[in-house]
Amino acid sequence: MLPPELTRARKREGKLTLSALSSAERARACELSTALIASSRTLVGSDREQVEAAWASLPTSPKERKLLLGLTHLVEQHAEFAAPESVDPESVRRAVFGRAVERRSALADGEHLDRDAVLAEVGAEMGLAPATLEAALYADLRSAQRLQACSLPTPEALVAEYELLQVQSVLLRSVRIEAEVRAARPDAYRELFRKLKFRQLLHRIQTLSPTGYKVTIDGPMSLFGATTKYGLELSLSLPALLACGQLKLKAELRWGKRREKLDFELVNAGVADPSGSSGVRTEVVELLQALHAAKSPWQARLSDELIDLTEEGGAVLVPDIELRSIPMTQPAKPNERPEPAEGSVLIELLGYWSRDAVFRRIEAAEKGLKRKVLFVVSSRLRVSEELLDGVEAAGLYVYKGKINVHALLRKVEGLVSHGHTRHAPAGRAVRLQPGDPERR
Amino acid sequence: MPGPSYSLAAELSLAPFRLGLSATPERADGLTARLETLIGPIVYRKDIVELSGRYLADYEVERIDVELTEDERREYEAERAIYLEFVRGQGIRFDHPAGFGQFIMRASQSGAGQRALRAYRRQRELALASSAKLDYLELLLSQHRKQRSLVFTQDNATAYAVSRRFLIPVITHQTKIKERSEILERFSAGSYSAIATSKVLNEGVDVPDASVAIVLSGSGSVREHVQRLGRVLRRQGDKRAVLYELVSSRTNESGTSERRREHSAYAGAG
Repeated sequence: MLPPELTRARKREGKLTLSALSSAERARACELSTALIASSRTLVGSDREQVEAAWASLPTSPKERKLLLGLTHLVEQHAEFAAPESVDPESVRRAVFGRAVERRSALADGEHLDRDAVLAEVGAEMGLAPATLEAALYADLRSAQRLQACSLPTPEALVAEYELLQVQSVLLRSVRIEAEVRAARPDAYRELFRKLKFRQLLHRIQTLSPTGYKVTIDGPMSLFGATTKYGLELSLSLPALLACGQLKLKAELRWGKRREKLDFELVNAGVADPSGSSGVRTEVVELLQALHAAKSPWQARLSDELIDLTEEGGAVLVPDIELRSIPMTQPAKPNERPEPAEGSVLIELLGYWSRDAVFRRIEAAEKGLKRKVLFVVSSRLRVSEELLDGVEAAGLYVYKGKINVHALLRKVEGLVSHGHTRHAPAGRAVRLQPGDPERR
Repeated sequence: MPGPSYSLAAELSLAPFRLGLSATPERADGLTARLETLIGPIVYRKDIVELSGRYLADYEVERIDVELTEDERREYEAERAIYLEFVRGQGIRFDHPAGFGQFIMRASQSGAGQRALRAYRRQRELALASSAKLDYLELLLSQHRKQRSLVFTQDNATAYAVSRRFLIPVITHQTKIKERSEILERFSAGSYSAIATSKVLNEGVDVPDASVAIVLSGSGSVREHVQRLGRVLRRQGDKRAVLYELVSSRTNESGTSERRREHSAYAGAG
């Protein structure tokens, strides 16, 4: 991430704005990126000091300095530096300095230490040439690291990353983010919500009228101490927010060394997602694999449904997996997806999320859910499975340490054998499919 | 304590009575007076010179002026002229607290400014780590080879350069804790007779065996300079400590040296 002074941010009347690159600036940024990429490729094998000096020496006007530093920062992220292969520098230092003390203390008055003799002597003992020994002396310093490789994108892609990095660097200093998204393609929501969960961000989703969702995310600065890891996870979720299409984002910031309170707004920046990928949490993938491996009458797949409970004052549930009993009811038309069968259960993995998130779900389930949902929760969250006893459309599976697939499937069987829900069901189950005009 | 973060500790403290203990209450940032509000007035003061000999080791301080070589002098004067021309042209005053920040800011705004910044750094580098200073350091290390010496530098790069040239261990913030402990243990046992360092040994480290401090370069801070002296003052037997200060004569470093010696511990010292 960029430090505040390297962003294109401007403060004015309690607000922080990012100035976008003009077309001339973007062209210049592409030129600088081309030069940085070319020099990095020729410098593979050089030490960090030389590489950094070459990057810094690119001719720029003072006004372009910030741009060059920002792009250099990105190029450095793509570059792979490693300590040169050598004998253990610490043992070299111990041997060389120890021998130097011995030789120095044996000197007569007025004599000076013969440095070359010490290096030659120790080098011979270690089977190294004096020059190799000298190079190994501080081979573990950052400045001695060598550029091993750099997998750099095209100059245009680097500039796009630079623009995205601007927003990411600002949001890293946020306390709270409110994003209103209206996706052009329905599965963008799914990707976004999945990514928010994948990145384990503290968030809440609400529907907007007539379309769209409002996502409220706790920013890194809302935590007791701003954590780099959480900030990084937030930054990595930003492309999914931007990829939704229409986006109106408001953030409350604590900016600069003085943690100045500022507001930030971003309206559909049109920044593309350079990675373009959405993630599925490792534990979801592992559970899917385990369910596939378990010999059971259930077919497991990633869920593409959302359960909208906003009309009941709740949030939007994003189940991770759908389990369907085999056989399923067949669709009326050949190209349609099969409708949820009687034996169909959605699974949401809450893992180590907040206890509060579990209780919000319990509350929603007690009001009744249209679809059967099993919430899978770690015992670390200190909740009891009995909390959802008697609730027909939902169940809790609390696991200790690792999820036991067979225990989970028994819970699923139990949920299905309850039959139809007794209460009037709450919540709208929304299936998001590519090609749908909008969510229903 | 008077710094912006540490002062909160005193401001938020519920304790109605406070007692502070400091070896170096003087500060370079002009906030020394804030101590009175945060802690209270000085109720007892004993200067290093008064403690020397009884509670602290006897000591002497020697300032050694060294000349730049002809080439260094020429380059020093040329670079300094570039830097000063820019500073004067911009009307920047270094006697103002914000002067240096203003110089950095203005320097980033033009090509001439960037050149002036490079010139500032180069002339400083020449004065702080001149070849004559390094030659003199070699002499001192040989002279005190039977004692334990600490070599202080203004920056890490110089500390590593000293380590490479004289084959003595170095301790900086980049030194891992395990290696740092090993170096200090070996120093204490006599397996190492000298350590180079920039700032990390200025305070908070007990090196009772050290009796020679060689200040190759440093800032103008009185506090830092007194702390560096303090490293060799732990009384041990009939130890007599010595602090050498190597200063490039007829350079800006002479003024820096005068500023950091404005303390009773250095009063009357050579």
